[in-house]
Amino acid sequence: MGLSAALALYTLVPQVGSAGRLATRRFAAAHPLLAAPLHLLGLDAILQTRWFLALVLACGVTLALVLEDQWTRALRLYRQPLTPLSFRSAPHRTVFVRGVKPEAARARADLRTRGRLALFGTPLFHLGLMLVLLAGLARSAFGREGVVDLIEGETLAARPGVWGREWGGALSTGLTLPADVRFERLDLEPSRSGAVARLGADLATSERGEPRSLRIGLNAPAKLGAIQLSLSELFGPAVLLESRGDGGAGASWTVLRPVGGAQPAFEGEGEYPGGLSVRLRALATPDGRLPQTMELRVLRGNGLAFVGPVHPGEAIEVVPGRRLVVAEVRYWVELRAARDHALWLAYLGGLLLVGGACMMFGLNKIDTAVITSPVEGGEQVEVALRTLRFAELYAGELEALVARERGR
Amino acid sequence: MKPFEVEVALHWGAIACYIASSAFFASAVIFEKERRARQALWLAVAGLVPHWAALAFRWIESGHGPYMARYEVLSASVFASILMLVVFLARRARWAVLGMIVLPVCFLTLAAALFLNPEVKELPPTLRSVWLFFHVLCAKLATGAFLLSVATAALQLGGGPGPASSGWRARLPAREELDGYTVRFVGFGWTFWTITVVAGAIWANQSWGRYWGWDPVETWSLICWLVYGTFLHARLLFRLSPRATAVASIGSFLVFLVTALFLPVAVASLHSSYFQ
Ligand code: HEM
Repeated sequence: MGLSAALALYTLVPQVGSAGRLATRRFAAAHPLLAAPLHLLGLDAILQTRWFLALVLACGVTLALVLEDQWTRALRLYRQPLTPLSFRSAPHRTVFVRGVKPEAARARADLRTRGRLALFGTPLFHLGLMLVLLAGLARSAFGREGVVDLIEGETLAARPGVWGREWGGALSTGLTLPADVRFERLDLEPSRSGAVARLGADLATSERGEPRSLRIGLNAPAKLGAIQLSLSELFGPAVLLESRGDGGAGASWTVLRPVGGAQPAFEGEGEYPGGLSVRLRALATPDGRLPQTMELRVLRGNGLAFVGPVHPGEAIEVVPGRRLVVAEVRYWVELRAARDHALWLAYLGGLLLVGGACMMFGLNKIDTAVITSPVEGGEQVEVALRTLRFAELYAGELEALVARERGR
Repeated sequence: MKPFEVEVALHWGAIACYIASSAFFASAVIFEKERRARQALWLAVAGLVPHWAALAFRWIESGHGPYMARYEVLSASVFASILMLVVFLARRARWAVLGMIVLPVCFLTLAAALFLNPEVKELPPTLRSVWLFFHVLCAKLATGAFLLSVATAALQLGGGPGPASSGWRARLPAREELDGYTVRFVGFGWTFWTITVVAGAIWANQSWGRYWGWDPVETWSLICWLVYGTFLHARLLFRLSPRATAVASIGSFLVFLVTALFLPVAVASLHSSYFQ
């Protein structure tokens, strides 16, 4: 309950870091009396507070304590043989006398059990919970992630610090690829409406000296050593502009990012020699091919030096003595990398959670006993039933058993 | 006829069957007519046929399952809930009272869904994954099971038979049985919710490179799971009375409603951009 309350607060109070500065400021302006005490208690950064960590650790410790108990009990009950005494406190029991010939009356006990696996539902589930908790703690301490915008033809080197942005746990080390990765080609298939239907990227790398090609796509990551590479939805055209003229020359890529609006489009900005600020805009093409026309705006100081459409390969004299050349247009994608050595533990934990939950509520251990003993005029039949869970719902099963025994 | 008009016609056909089925269930309970309960069940099954056809038609028309528009999501949830009810009642005629309670909630929700924006939205490529299917399917089954648990809890609080009950109320399932099924339905729903969360986490790892990101909808699905977990613990360890169990089941369902219905519409989240 404590965790639930903390997490509910986490979603209600804008959190430093994840909500963004604007949201945090807006909240502080709207609730000036609340913001200060919340900050003091760390409620604006709940996942980083010591008390939250303590809560999670407390769950871990209590889980570890009950796990041993749950396993020993489950094993003991699994191995325990059924005897008539086991039914002493059975919730369902009926006794009647069946008329049989005296020589046929015998003392016997027909004891049966089914669904014994249900005993292991709770321990398996809690073991899974423990593993997921451990995997989550390991990830938050040692896991690392990174993103980078990569243009077709560019290579990401196998050394630290190549990512545009990189973050991870306090004990994590830099994210280093095991081999260079070159982004060969973007595979884009638009849908009828112009939205993206398929997005993939062909990568070239090497493994033990052998060339290896990799294909990653949305929902289709690939593993490179310990690093999982995947694509985000972000992609667009990147334009190589060369600025030539008096006072220096230079060339650089301007990355055009998707922008909202009635028509899907991409926009980007860049600074070029000669004091030029460049702004490019291109509409998304319906067939997914690179745009062949872009709108170029060039500012020099505060003055508009040029505005108009440009095409790949075109050179434009934007101000006297300075030309901008649209040298090349290629696609770029946002490549994501993640390293989590404890991922297998999280998956194993998840499997146990699901398996344990299914065993807890999909199975039930049901023990039945039909104990007969000779009495005057026939034999006494005692029918009893007990269950691991939901005993109150099994009265009908006892009735059916009794009816069968009466009919014998 | 436009495709949406076909869907609407099929949906109204289903609603008509569900209304008739509710009336038959009510009459079966109040006038103790067991045959009428059978007929009510068949009417509910008859409603599921056009309902299924409407969903299938929409699936073919939009090219994806009922994941994107609130109209299709609600319709699919109602379908799953009624299907669960029918499966439960098929072998338990005594429980006709559940049909009398659950079906009206379902057909009213379905009718309301028909007035929501029916625009067909494309499924973004990030959502195209086999895990989406399991994720959504189990969420629907959880919804159905939680709804049934609320119905048994409501009966426990409002109408369950007592020593002084007479007439049709005296013939309702016993309070211990209502209590047992409240917990059993919660158990089923919580198991499906566990699969929903785990499938979502595996899918998130494929899609975003991490299995948990503390996104608001993700976080609330965890809160909901923990709240139902707390309910099951409390019931087991503190031996809650049937009334307390019923209240806790309804309270947990409110958290589930916040998670499933309110949050995806109200909060900006990776999970809900397509809903808004
Ligand atoms: C602090 C961590 C936890 C501890 C110490 C703990 C402890 C326990 C204990 C002692 C039992 C009784 C087991 C038995 O009868 O053999 C139990 C049962 C159970 N626990 Fe937990 N638990 C924890 C977390 C959770 C969580 C997070 C969930 C799910 C959200 C959960 C779900 C369940 C369920 C479904 C049962 C079975 C209830 C029933 O039989 O009706 N537990 N737990």
